Amino acid sequence: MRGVLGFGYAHPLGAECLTAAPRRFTAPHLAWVPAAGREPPWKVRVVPPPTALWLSALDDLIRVRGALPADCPPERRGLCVDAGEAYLGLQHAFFRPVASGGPREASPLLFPHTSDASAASLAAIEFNLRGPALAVRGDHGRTLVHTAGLLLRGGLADVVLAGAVHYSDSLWESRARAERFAARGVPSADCAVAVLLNRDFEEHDLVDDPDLDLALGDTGPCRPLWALIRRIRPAGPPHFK
Amino acid sequence: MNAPPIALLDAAYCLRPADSDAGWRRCRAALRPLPQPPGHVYSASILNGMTARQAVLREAEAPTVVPTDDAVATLRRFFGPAVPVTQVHSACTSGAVALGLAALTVRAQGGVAIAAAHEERSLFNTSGFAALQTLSRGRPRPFTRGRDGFRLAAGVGLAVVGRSADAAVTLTGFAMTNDAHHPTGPHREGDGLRRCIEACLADAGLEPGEVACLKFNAVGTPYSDAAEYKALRAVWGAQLPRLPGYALKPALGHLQGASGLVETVVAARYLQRGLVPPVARADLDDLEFGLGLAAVPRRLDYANVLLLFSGFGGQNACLLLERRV
Repeated sequence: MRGVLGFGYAHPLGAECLTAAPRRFTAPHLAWVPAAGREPPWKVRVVPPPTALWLSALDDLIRVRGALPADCPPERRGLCVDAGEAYLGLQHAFFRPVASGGPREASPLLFPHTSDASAASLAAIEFNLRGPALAVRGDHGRTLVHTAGLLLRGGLADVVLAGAVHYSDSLWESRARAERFAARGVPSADCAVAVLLNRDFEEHDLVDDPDLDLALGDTGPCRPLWALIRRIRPAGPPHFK
Repeated sequence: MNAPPIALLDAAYCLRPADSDAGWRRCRAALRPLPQPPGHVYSASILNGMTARQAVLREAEAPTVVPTDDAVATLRRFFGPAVPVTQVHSACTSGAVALGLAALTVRAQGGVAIAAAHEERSLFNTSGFAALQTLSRGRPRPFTRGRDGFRLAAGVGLAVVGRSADAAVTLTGFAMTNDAHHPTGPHREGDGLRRCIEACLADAGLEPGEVACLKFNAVGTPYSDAAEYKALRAVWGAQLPRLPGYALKPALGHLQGASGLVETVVAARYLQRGLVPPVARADLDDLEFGLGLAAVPRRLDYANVLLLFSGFGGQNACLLLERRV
């Protein structure tokens, strides 16, 4: 498909509806530190699960598949991510001790991870993406690629990594969503997916795939990108059911 | 024939509302009727539209409360149930980015687009920024030797962006970059902000020497102010102290995700009236960096203003506003 230069994805071990051969939710990102030579006031040694999932998908796209064009400088590489409700759990995890014990219980290590924007910023650091990097959220699947298209056509970047993360936890929002989908026979499938787009990409090339939920499970904001990948490879990625 | 320039057709903001709902209502009431339904609405805040108050309520009332995003629901009520609403999260540059995306939308598909931003001064944000030691113990004093951070504030803003041949203020440049350096701190040399300034000027088709005024980010933390000065110095060199500039955060407070939008609306009004706002005299006496600040309001017939915004995670955004003569 025109304008789609590559894709990458990741899912946690044991996601029953995604694969028989799980891959790429790997240890390095769980012990992630900023690149050498920088001088952080403190080191972030552990990233939370949704960020690890997201970084793993980008790792698949950039390092494993080598999709980023070498002639595109870091300053012209943009990033746009839809994290859906993946970070609500971290907001609760940060706020619960504050609500019960007061502001002194606030964790300076956890606070930077409570916003969707951290998914964009940490990916920019990890993969040296110096163009625009932002998180978006919308109620329809086109929000992400619409924004990526704006960045490309507006001349802010030559390529944009458009990605999404679906991560559910024990929060009631996640449980309520899982129950809604389970009632239709669709299990929840945590995953992250990223596609690399350039200016040739047309938003209207994005079409829904009605079989996706049954094929993959509920992948949340990743769904339109999975549909895109399925159009590139009708058989899907190798481990599609 | 050239298309009319992209302009701020209308805008309103509300500082320190009783809550976001009250702020939204006041802003909407202040806007004139839209010339046409908006093609897109961009809504900015630093969280998922979830305030700390809601976090507690959700935890306590689960599962009887259906999760909804108040801001999105409110914006749909204002501008129509079918209008696409995109929430933008790029830390404290979110409001400026929402405005920039609205301008890009108008550039791509015509019509009008809305930029909206809101932020509450919640226990969530206050405790988080306090834990990072970024909150000032007294009055914020950006760019001074004794600076120690910012003061959080709440606010709501709405702006209508569209093409117009006779609007007073046009939005001619937009850029955003990431430092790709650190999860919270800025690049120590201001590399990302310098690139952002240069990209914004290129977007507007201006040379650095043609910029008439600067609206500093001026967040007041030791690292961020130093990085901002280095970025500005890299672009303007020895000319920098002679370039008039001002800061809004000491007066407005730091509106976090809404600061980009509200500060732009305020800057547009100063630009329209030919005014450069002052800083406190005591701050000038203790300035660490050579910048074009003044202790008294200056009446200046300036043609444009470059607005700088930076945020957590190395986020940078710049907007360039021009006054139509």
